[in-house]
Amino acid sequence: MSIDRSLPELPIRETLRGKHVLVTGFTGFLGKVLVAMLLERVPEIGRITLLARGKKTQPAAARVRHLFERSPGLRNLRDRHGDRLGELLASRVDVVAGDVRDPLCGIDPRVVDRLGASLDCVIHVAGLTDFEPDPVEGIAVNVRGALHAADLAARTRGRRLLHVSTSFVAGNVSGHVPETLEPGLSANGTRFSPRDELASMESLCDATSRRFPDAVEAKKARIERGTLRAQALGWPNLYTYTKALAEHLVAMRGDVETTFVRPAIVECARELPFAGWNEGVNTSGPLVWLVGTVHRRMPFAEDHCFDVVPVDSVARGTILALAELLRGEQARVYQLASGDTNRFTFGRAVDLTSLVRRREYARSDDPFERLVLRHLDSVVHDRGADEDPWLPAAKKLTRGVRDLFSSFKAEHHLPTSVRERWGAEITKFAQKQAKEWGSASRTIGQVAEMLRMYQPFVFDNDLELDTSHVRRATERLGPEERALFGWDLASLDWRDYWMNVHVPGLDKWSLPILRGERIPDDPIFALGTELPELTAASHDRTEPRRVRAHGTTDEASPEASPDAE
Amino acid sequence: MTSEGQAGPVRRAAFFRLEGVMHPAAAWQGAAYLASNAASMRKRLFGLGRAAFSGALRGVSLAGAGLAGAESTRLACEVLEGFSRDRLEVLGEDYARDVLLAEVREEAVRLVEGARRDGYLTVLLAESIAPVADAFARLLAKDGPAFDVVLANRLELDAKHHATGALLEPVVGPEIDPRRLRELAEEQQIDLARSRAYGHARADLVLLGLVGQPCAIEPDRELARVARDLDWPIVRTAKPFEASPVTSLDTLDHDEGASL
Repeated sequence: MSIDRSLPELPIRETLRGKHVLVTGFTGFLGKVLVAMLLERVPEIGRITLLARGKKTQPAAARVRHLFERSPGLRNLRDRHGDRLGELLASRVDVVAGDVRDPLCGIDPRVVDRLGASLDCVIHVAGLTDFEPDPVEGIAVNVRGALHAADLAARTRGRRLLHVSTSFVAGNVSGHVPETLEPGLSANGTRFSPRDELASMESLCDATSRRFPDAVEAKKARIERGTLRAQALGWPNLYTYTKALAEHLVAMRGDVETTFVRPAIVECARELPFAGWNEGVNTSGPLVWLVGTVHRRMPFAEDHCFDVVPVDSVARGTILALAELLRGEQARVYQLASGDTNRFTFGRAVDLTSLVRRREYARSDDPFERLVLRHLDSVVHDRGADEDPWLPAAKKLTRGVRDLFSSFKAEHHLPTSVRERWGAEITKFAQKQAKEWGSASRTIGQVAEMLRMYQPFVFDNDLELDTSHVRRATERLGPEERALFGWDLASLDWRDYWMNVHVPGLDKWSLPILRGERIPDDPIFALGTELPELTAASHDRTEPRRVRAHGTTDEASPEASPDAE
Repeated sequence: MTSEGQAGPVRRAAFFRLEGVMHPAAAWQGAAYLASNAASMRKRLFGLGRAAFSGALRGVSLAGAGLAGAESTRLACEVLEGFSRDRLEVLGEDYARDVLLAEVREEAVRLVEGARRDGYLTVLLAESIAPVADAFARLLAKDGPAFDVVLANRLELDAKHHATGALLEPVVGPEIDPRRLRELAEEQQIDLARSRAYGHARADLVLLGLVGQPCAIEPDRELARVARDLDWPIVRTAKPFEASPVTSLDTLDHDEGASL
């Protein structure tokens, strides 16, 4: 790609020089990479304020500090700056406690006043990414949270908001998806009032909660009813519905300059913090896991676009949008996707994943993997999950076998002579088998459920997301900054990325979570200094509240929290 | 031969057949390996059947039934119909690493090294498909000598990057097409009269006959007879599939070497 001389240059570093931004969702997957990229590649930036929720046992600053000390997602900063990282962070980063579910993101109004005097932009990354969240939480985090971020931005010097959404607000459509947003026009073309819709959904949730005294039943009913409402407007699930509703409501405001960044399927990093890094279980994790099992027929549409975007590419695109926003040259919407310039399909993903597994299993010590699984390449079924007869049958079969073993009683099923001699061993064997077949049955059930949830994205819809705006911004970059921030997916070698970066990355950072294992933090790294936390008590940044380090204890993996976009 | 003042062939080349010289396996065996690793079971069964038929046809062809060798190459590659480019590349690399390189003829590798040392352009001629031959050359170059040029068969791909099963022309068959070799020599400015070639079977006679310094490596009976008659050097190993001393390599002196 060459520089387009007809467009004004976009100097990223110069634009961000001395600027003050507030980032929500730093503790999530994208948030960490975005902040790490800003700190590493834009040393000119003035200050980054990180909004984080404090916990009873861990104030917000300690939580953020722990991430800088231990998170693999920030490893590049530790490697690059070593002992001087604490100094860098103290001069560039501060923390403010808050929660996007609360008005003004839960920040003390006195702190908001102080922050507002210097803040140039609020970057709202926080969000719930569950496909089927409880709508009460989905509305509170994804919709109200975005509105609270906009309220906060409106009280700042810059009055700018960069809102990270998702490309799948496009809803149940196929074909070309332009980078547009028309408030009040739903995904299926229905005219609606976003404000009334929010009020209706909240009252629906209230009414459902009152009707079902049992909390679990009430949640289930809220999800069912909320999903029906989302689908009536053309969105496949509550996740896309809440993200879209937030876009519509924020876009209707006139008091904030807003740009919407819509990443597609955010997956393993290409280079930053390091190749293959991932966090939590994202969209492709369960699909990749499924290909490694005995289940062969994947209910995907072979030729449909699997719009994967590495997380560090999303960070690049977000910084491009931020720079244009800060210069007042922004587009309304930036879609960050790969399909329009370098299409990757589900058929190809299944084929490449099978080839990775084949190589792994060929070297396995486990004879079942080496002799059986190795040769069971997955193939695309080209049918929806609801038409797949195999999983329900397999679930029924495994459950039947489990029941058979569970019902085994030595005193009923074995003759006395056998029972006396081997009864204990046989009973033990039967109990073990019952447990294993039960576990297999549960896993198959989870997979079937997962495929049902994914069906709109892997089978029904085939989106081709337009990325003209981010590509145009890239054309405005000089050669040096293009290497650091340019939108770079047209040249991505999918085979190399998928086989050598993505699947190994998922194997290390995501799939263990599916198996109930925990991803360890990096070894302890002492920052040597505390991160400043902005509080009402601290009058200015030279007198921040100091928080004791919390670097020696482990922290739970990123939870399904408002921080985890 | 060129007239004075005109740019003429200036490079010497050493031609190595992948099948037979670098490794004993035939091209159809590679196709069978790939076919046996097709994504679907149905394709595996059909592919293996067709690969076996292709091997049998090759046998008939060699027995002198008059069937064109390139047809058996085409038939062998038809089993790859429907293979994605990814699968061809990945399995081609697996086959090159796990099968070809694992049992590469060490003597042939030493000859490639020697040719490079002597300033020859090294050319790998493969009846196998390009993903196999390219991967073999690439992997060999990691710890050993590199080939400057790889000439292999290329599969036709459809719009979805799946193999149609057809080979793109010109097809590299068991016998090297003299016209194709002369074209290559012209492209690369190779002087065939000052070049070397290494062959293994009767089908390589055309290739060996075109260069100034032919050599037979582990020749079959027919090639061995011709080589003896024409006083070509013959390389034999004690153990064909393992690194071992070469009994007749010491007698090879290509610079003064034998020629037709």
